[in-house]
Amino acid sequence: MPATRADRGPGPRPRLTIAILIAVTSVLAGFATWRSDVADRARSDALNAADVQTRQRQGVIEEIDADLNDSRITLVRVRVDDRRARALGAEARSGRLTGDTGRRARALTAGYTAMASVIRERIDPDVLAGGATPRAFKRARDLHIETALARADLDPTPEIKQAADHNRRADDLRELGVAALVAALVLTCAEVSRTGWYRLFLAVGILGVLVTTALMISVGFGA
Amino acid sequence: MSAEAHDTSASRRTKQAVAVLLMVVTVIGGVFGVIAERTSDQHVDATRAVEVTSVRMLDERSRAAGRISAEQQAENTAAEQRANVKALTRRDTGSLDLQVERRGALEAARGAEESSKLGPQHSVLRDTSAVAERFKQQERRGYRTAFEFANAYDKQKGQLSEKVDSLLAVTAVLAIGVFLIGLTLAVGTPSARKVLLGTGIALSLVVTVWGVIVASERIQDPSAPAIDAYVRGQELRRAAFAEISGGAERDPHARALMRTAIGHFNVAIRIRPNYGAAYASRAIAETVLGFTDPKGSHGSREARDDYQRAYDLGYERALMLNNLAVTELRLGDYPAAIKAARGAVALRPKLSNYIETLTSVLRYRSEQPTPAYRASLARLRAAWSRTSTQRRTQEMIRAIEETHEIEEQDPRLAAKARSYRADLRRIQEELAQ
Repeated sequence: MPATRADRGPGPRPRLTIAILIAVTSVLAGFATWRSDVADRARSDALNAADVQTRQRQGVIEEIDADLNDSRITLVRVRVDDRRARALGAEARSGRLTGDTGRRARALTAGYTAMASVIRERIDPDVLAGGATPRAFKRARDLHIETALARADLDPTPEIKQAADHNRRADDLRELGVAALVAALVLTCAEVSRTGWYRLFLAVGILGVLVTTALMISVGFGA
Repeated sequence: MSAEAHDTSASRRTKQAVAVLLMVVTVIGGVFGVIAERTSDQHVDATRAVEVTSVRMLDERSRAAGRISAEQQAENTAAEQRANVKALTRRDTGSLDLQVERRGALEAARGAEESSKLGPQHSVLRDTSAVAERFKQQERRGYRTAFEFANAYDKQKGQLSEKVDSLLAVTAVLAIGVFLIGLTLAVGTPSARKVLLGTGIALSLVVTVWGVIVASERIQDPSAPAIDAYVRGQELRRAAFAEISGGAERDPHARALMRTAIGHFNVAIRIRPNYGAAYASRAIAETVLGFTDPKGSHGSREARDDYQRAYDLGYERALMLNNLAVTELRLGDYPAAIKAARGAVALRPKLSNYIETLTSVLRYRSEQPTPAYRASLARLRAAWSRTSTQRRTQEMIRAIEETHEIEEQDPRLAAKARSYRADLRRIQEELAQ
């Protein structure tokens, strides 16, 4: 009696092999999903660390700016005192002033000079070293920020890069998990097929499993 | 009953069992879905809390900056007017005008002193005294607290998001289990059916365990008492550090302040055993206590353990590894110091501070300079050549000072410290040209 169309499906042994392949592929998809979740958690941790650093960095920069603003205000006072001292000193030396007025001018000159010198010490030394010009303030600001960031390690760039890497791996693993499921689905078609087409399904399924596995290994399962 | 009837009955029972299994796994998936949905709601609340505390943080920061600035200006005015009074007094020749001027200056000084909390002898911006540092820290307490809350809510938000993602992943893998179990209904070969059913059940079981672990994960709200204890500890630690940096290295008062700070960190850690920042701060305080011990400087094992815990908790990992390397060096465990220093450099390859730590531990490890040390020294030179002159100078001075400290503390390392210092000085000269 010639074989019917239904009989042309896979025999019992190939069916068992296909079932094993489906099981393995499904487990692989589950494993990829789990590892993708682990990578996601690592991404979340890296982003959290970057957020803390960004917050801290902002705080440090604002603190530096606030301190430099105080130096600016102090500098204004130093300049006012200096100018007054110079003007009064010039008047006192001009010889135009009478005895008492001249003595008063000299005393006031000494007072303003003392005032200027005592508060000059309260200006940021890095600003004074640069000549207390707007450029000196900028240089001092840059230096303070650079030093603070290096000392407290507040650059979030590496964490953000790390988070992007974890994200990419999580996405890749998730996609490969879906690809493994598609392969499992194709293998399922081979398993339940009652025609000679099962060979095609099986070949495509096996190819899918091999490619997916190879890609998963190349992506890596580490967090 | 015939064999055929028996088979049909067995097949029906198997199908019923599979149907029940499918139902159970689907219900489990549904439960995880509901938990994920609830967690997602909590995530929304935490996100809002992060936003609120971030705004509060900005508000507190500008308020603190204003208060510190007002104090600074009051101190400046007081100091300025006191200097004026002194200068006028020196020139006082009995002139009534000058006496009026002097009295005016005196009153101005007193007015400013009344407004200043610390007085004219202080400058909150330039002082490194414990008094000035503590004042600043106290003024910034609101900001520091809001900052800690923002971090804690941010962490909570991240953990909630992770939990939702994991529960979704669990549900997805459970669906794979359902697929495998369901497939047995469409497969005719008994052996193939067994494979699919077995794998489906095993996968579902494993994933259910994973789901239960994730679902039972407790995500705590930020703890106000822990944050308060931590912030207070930080204030004292910084004040003590300011005093020690100001020259009071072995001063019992500064050391007592540092110990009180440790007490506060202990409280914070007791309340929140996963408080990474508290471990890091306690480690720094313990390091300073070991360093300033009147009986002689030494490394601190407690600091080493705390740096390690802070690292494990994900708190400023590169910095923790760098500090751990320095602590291990002081404890004499060179392989551990090198491992930690290498870890820090791997995380922050461009940071000259960390390269310097690695270079120093490599030098202290062996009698003669090794190729690894030479390579690290070359890397340090390259990193410094890219750094701005001012900062480079600061870092070099600090690195050279450290070689002196090591030489004084540990006679066994004296020769190596001198050799390393010579190398650093050579680089200093080369880069200065």
